[in-house]
Amino acid sequence: MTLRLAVALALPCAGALLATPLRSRELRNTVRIGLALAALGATAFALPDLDRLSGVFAIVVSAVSLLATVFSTSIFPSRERLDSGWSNRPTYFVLLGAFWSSMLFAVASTTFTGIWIGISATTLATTFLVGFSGGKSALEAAWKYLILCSFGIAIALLGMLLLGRAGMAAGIAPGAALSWQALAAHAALLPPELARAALLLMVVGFATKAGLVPMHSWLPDAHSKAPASISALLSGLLVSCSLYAIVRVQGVADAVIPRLFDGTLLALGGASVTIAALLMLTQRDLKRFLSYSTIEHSGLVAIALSIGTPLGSFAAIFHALNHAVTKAAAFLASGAVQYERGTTNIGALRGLFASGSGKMLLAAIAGLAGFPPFGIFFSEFLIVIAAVEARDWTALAIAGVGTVIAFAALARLAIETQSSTPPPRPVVPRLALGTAATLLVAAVAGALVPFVRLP
Amino acid sequence: MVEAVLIAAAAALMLGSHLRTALLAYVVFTAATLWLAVPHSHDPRAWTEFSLIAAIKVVVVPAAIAFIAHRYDVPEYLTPSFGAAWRVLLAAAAVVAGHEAGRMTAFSNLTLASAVFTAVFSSVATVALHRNLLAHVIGLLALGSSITLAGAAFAPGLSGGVELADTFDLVIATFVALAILRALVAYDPSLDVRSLRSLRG
Repeated sequence: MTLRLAVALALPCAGALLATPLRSRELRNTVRIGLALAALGATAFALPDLDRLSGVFAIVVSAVSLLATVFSTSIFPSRERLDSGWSNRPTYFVLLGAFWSSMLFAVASTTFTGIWIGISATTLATTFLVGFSGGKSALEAAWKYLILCSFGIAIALLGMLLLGRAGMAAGIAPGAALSWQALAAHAALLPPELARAALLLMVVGFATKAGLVPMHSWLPDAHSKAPASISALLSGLLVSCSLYAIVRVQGVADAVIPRLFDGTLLALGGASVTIAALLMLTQRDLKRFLSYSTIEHSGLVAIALSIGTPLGSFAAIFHALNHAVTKAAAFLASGAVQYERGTTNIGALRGLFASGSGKMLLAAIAGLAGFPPFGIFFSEFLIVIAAVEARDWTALAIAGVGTVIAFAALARLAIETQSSTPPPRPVVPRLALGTAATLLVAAVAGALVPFVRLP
Repeated sequence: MVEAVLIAAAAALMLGSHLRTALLAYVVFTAATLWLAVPHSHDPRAWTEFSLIAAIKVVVVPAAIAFIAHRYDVPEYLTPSFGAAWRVLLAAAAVVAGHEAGRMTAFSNLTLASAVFTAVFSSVATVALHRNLLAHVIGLLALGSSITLAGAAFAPGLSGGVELADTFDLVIATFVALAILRALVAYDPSLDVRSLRSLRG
């Protein structure tokens, strides 16, 4: 690991720690934002040390985390109780920094060991953030999140150990036995049965963290109970990092046995899209609604990966990145709405269109529904083209049905929350609206990606 | 012989209905996995890592659980999910499934495969067979011990750093879990998983 990459990985967490002892709140927040900006710069500076896929994910992780930090300095999560040991400002920002560093570590690694360490560290960093309010339901969500994700990640580790054994049996040195480049290069020599079992365990383990059905039950609870800025990172980035891990696993799997996991990914993705879209229709809490939408989009990525063509893989990665930005914007907008109205109960959110936060939420809903010019429109369109090109009618049908149901749920949410007359309300800080707006602009800019010719 | 002790401890973990029994079973279970995972080399680094893992898993973590249980007056009873007959049946099924998984073609060349899978299935079954949240922490820790055994049995040479990372991950997870339990005790002193149903995943 180069020095500049090490600095990029350490700076988010170190920056949060450095700002903590400062006495003045204004100065502390300014330093926090400054160091978060420096962390984004450090990530950009370290890009030459990463391959293209890792680089794109690293930049998105740092950009969205920076905006979540700015949002948090503007609207700090309110607390239901004051006596939870971890419910205080310094802990919040240090854990946020640790979360950011862990995600960067996961996407910047060149081995499965690094991905595993990064993703498991995110669980530890975010459990207290999920239970930040200290209320019973937040603690319940944090508990489910910790136990289910720890089990999932342990299953992935078991798979990794088996894969390491397979790698060593193929003649790879123990130090490189979990490098995906070495494994793909020695794919023909890997014991196929052992490699298949190992890779399957890894897919199941990382799919737990990606919230794919049937390992999803923790996700709506954790994402809806966390503070809005943390939900933005959990739903936008952490799910994408876990899907990134699955992409890396699939890369090795395809080298061992072509299209090994197409059926598995189609089953996981199909179940996620269908069940999550149906459950979106029944939700009465805004953040819970957005959490189920995350499962639906995660499922779409899995379906795109199951198509098994280069275009399908590109569409999957492109969709994961578009969803990361758009969903983060949606959660930040929901945080602004919660600040304004004091609730996320959909029934109590009328006349939102009259406020800045409401307009922001409407734009984010339009983005999630796949309206142009948002990037999700283009990535969903690419998934359709990839399925048609590959004549994968099953993937196309499942993705189509799920997307239509989700669209109906999003349309209903938009109509229900934007209509009618708004009650008097407190003014949402401009900085908070600005961060959500920046993410929405980024979600539109994401549409340009397929047209950019990289060197 | 050690494998027999491992299976007996796994059975006690799954069937035990009191915290003391479960903690004792966990310590024996972990000691057995560590015995099977003892480094064969004389490399001081491997021995240092192994000693650290052993001290944390066998001494520090059980002591922390016992402390929390004592300090917050958590009930000893672990609230089994099923009646005794069903528990015995399910525990036997976990042991048989682990044994059979180890004999599958994919794992036929691996040493101790049956012991590893028996340990893994028993750990998962420990969670499924109890409703008390402390039992779930113990199940998670037992799964960590199973992974240590898997590392030593399946991928010696690879496992040092990975297992150390796994140990620290589980230790931190345990302490995070205990901190959340401490807060949850205020809402439900019995720590029954049924009290965690206000949210529906």
